[in-house]
Amino acid sequence: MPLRIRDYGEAHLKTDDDLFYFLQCATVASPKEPAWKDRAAEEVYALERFEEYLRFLEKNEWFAIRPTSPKKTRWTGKVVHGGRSWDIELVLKDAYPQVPPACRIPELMHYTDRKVDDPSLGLRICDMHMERNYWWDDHSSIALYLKREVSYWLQSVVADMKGKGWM
Amino acid sequence: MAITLRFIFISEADKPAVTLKVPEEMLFQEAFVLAAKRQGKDAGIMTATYPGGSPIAGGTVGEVAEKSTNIHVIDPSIVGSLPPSIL
Repeated sequence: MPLRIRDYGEAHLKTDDDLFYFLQCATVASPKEPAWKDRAAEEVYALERFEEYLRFLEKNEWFAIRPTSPKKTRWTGKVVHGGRSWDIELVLKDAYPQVPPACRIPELMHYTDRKVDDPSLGLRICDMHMERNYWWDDHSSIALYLKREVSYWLQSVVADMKGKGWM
Repeated sequence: MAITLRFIFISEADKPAVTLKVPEEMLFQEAFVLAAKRQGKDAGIMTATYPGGSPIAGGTVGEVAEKSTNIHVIDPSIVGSLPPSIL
């Protein structure tokens, strides 16, 4: 069966399953490789599309993030949940995109055990299950990481904190 | 009017989707509990979001379906859990 190339018009996204294929990157290159320039541009493009999707379809832009290093390997911004916002920091290691980005929400790291102690970066969000569950591959972008990992992490941590009466 | 909601349990390898036809005025939480029951899970520990990861604040099924009829559900107990021992 031929592959259907589909336009992601508003009506379509509302009714059909979301594949979020438009959040994937075509180029597989790590920050040290020459093709990284293309990959970084694709990452930016995917993030913009995702922001657009959230703004116009879900009407909830729950994150705002921008690159803070010239090579676009470090990103900082804010995540919003339940009317509160927290700083977020993403670091793309040299092994990216074979490994997911390393992510920190510094204010929340001490309130959960869903974290790992990274030897070079300190505490970060645990993502070990991502590859196990096929939520991450070389073509996944930062936008997909935010969608598949950070959104759920944030919600479960905040729900936990509320349940314990810390918020 | 009845609305068809599709709950996608994204951490389930087999049988990940539950389709429910529910009245528009029903509370989303009720529909969510029904879907979780059908999947044999406890809704109390599950997290439901819109496909883009935005939280669902609550409200009726009609209000939720205005944004999306596909709902992503995850079991937060597996978010960030350590992989099983390989020994």
